Amino acid sequence: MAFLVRTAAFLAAVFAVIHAPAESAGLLAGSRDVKGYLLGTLTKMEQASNEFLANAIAYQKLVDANGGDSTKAFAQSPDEVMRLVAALRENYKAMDSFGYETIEGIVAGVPKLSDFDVYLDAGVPKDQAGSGTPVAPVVLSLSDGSKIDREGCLFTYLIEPMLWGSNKKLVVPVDLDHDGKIAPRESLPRADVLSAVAKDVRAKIHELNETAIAWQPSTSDYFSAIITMTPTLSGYFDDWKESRYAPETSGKFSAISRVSDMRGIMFSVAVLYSAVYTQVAAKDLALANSIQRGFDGILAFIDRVDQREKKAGAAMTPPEVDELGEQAKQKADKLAPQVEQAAALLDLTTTGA
Amino acid sequence: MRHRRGVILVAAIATTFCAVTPTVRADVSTDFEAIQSQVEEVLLDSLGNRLDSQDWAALQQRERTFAGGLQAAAAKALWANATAAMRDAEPNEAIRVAEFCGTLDAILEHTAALEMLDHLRRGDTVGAQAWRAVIALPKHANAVEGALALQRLGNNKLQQDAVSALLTREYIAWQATRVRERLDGLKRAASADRANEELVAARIAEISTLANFPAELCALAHVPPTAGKGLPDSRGLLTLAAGSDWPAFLENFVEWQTRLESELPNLLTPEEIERHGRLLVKLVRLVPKEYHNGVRGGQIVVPLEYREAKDFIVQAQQLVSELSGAWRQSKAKAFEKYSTALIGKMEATERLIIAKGDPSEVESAAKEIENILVSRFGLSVQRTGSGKGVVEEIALEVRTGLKSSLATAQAGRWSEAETLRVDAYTTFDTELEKRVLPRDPELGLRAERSFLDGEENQPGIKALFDQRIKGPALEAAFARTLAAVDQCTALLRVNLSPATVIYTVLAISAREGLEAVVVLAALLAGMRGLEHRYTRRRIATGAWLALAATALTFWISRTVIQSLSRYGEKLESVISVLAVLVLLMVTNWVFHKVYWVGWNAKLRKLSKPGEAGTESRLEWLSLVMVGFLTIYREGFETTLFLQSLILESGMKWVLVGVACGAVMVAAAGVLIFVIGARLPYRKLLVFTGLLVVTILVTFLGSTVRLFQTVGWLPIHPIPGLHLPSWAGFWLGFYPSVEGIAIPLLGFAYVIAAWLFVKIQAARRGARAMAEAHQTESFGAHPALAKRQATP
Repeated sequence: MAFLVRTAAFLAAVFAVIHAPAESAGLLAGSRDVKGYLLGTLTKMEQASNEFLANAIAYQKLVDANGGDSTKAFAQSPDEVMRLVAALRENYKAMDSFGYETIEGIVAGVPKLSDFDVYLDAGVPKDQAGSGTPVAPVVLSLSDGSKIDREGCLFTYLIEPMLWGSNKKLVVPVDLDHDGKIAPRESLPRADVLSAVAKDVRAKIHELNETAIAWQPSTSDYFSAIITMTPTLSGYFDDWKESRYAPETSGKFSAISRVSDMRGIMFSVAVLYSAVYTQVAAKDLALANSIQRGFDGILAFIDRVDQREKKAGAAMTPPEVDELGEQAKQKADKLAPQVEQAAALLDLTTTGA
Repeated sequence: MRHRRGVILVAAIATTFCAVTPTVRADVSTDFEAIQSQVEEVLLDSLGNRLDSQDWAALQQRERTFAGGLQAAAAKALWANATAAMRDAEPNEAIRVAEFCGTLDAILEHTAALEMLDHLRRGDTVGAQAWRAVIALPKHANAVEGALALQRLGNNKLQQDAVSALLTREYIAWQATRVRERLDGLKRAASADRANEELVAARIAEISTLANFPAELCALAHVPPTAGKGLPDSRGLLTLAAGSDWPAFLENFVEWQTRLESELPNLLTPEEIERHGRLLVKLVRLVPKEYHNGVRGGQIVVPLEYREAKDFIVQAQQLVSELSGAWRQSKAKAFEKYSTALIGKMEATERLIIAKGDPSEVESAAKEIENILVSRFGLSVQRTGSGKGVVEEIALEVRTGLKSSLATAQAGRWSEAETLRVDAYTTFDTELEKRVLPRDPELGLRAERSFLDGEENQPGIKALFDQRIKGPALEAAFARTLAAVDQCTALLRVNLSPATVIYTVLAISAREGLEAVVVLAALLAGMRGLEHRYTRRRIATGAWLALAATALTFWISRTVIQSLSRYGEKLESVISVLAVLVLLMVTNWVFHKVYWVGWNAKLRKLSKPGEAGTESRLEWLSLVMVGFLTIYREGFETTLFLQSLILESGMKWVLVGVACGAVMVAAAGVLIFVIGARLPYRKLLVFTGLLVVTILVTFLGSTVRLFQTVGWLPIHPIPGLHLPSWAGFWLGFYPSVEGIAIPLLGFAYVIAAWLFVKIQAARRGARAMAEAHQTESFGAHPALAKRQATP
């Protein structure tokens, strides 16, 4: 009976894969080949960065045509300005939320690539340096000769706050909705900063792509990334639970929620795990499968939240949220020591981050 | 959408993996996870008050299927017992359903453990691995040892029992930790007003069942059985939850939690208890540091630092929970009196952190917690003792941490490297630097900076980490830090130089020994000849008894001090004060001729009856006592003084000094008593007294350093003052205001005392002369007349 159930499930899964759009089939190939998946995503990110730069240059030209005044540019060509800002936001999402976040687990976890994570996504401004928080070495020269000197990584501290108006230093306040008032985040990006950032992010993503092409992945690299990234999961569920009760408005994660970031990271870690699965399974098949199911469970978390909210027909009750967060946290907690066991069975270093 | 497809694909891969696995493993994981997943769904539904009969029926069906698949007799019995009472609940009975879900959650784990062990017993390692893989683990579980043991076991039946015991102990440790985590989780949910009656019912059922370890498991793990012990009653809590009286619930919950935790098996070894204690204090100290970096003006400025502060306080609470079983036995009084306050303050600190309160408030709250841990529970970040071995152990730990950090950073694993650096730094800061600062503040601070920002042109490790600089520059930074750590270790390796120790012991024992010999010689001077032989023999008997009593005193004081060795440098500080007092008394006597003249007179008085040959039993005893007191008084002082030196520098060099002193004293004894030589006693005593004054100054310096090490005296470095290390080794001078001023004040006191005695004596002389002038015979005395004529 169990055999029939498993076979049916297997056939159903194969059916789902075969009938999924071509893009998913590409991902399947990528998950079998970590480097292929990484390069595929980086290529798309590089393409988005090219478009981001083109849109930034167009925006700069528009502002320059109005004497370098963004407010005037908006007054003269509001539709064009807003179109460009919207396009820049989409480019950013393609680079970060749907691009980098889906490979972050690989880039941040693989020693040869981890510097790029600090530069693009994880490094903090120099005045916020603390134990365990590296300063992003981003230094940008602006057209007026001034510099943005180590004020945080490109995605989290520069591009996102600039496009969503959460860092006043990077934007020009403008009454975009013509209501006579300028709301706290009602603004346009500073053209000079935008151009400098766009050039830099394009160059950095290109450099990351080149480094990834030259990278010769090893089992140790894969495990290093998995061990580094897996224990961070618990914290994300805590963050999620807290955010359900008291949404954070720090502005740093405006575009896509924290759990979505987590899901992106976990997806790339799951891809890494699929590359070492066979080796772990040769030592302890039950453990190998349990880890795999653990990743699946976490990846399915958002779907589960959606399903429950649909079922509730409204927001979940506080005890439900607490329990759901606890269930997810327990799944995540179990993964870290399991991954360490797998590494030990393969005689690899087991020191996680 | 893309993510959704990704999920489908990963699920497909997973399903493929599962489909090709052998039957036993697939059945285990499939059935186990199916029921677990259904329990989760039903529980969530019951919490949201939307449980439907379909879901409930599905759970009942899965429960029956799972029960039918169990093979181990113990697992079957356990499952049947735990589920029988609740199996027939109705979906509209939300509380019973929630309780059922909680019970199933926990009983699934115990059942998996029993099945795992049953498969192992039957030689089915693969089956055991399959059951082990489904067991829930806490985040920081150590599961590697069990995985490797199972991997290596193969068909080796001889090792089966040992592996079973290992797996069981590991299982109990995991689940005991999970019980504590679940307790903390429920308390947090209730205090944040996020709980309801169903949630409380489910969690309490889960916790109670999980804490009730099956007897088979307890027997295999060699821990007292928890089953049948009668875990605390939780009905009152459910009533309070039903009435939504959360303040009262929390009050009762803490009591229930404490009682339940005390029933959990204690698997910690004494070493682990000590290590956990040290880690606890370290975490509490780090909380305000991390929080200060992470939050400014009520805003999170560095999310990671903020989260670390939050994690550290949660981890600290978990450690307290983990240690509570052991503390209940070893620190029963402190636990009873202060555990509630400790837990309350930790919770308050966590709330403060969650509310992003003022960093200074977090700092003072953490300080209060640290005070309770240190002063009430006797915990210390420092390892006990101060001997060379402890310093070597700490240095090894710091060096190992630094080397691992370098290797990890060179491999580009920056986050891990930073964690290792922080570990090494906190160990250095709390255990080595604290001891180095009183001796050489400049070295201590230089070493500390090398961990952080470094010096001009010589960046520290942290500065390079922040810039992600690796290669030769990073290696050089680590080399500088390692060299500084080595220098610190070398400085601490010998507290006083061996030569200083020998000189000190020699001077003290020679001085005290000589004093005893001189007093004895003075006593016996008038007792030559056969008629005094019995008197001499009795005094000699007393002297030999005193030597034996001195040896006994030495042994007793060593035993007492060793039993107090856990107080480490605090004990040294107290003993040092006693030693300084002994030295002050000795130096005082040097200048008070009256002392030994008076003492001599008393002893002579005691010996009179013996000399007259009219002694009674009591008088016989008094002669023995004369010899005894003459020697023992000096022996007692020497013994007391030596304890301090032994604590600071070990036994070896003290014994060398004692041997040298004994040779000198024995030589003096032979010269006086055997050869009958007349030595310049007074000059000898004054000379040895002057030696003792130099020792007093050195000793005061060492005592100040010890006081600074344990935090009883502040350290005020003198800017620009660089003293060579021999100044500390030989003279006891350490470059701080206190380290220089207090020994000098001690010296000034001795000089002042000497001057005082001299001036007093001169005045007394002058007064006597003036009185003599009044007498008639004064002018008739030629010597006095001459003296009067002298200006």
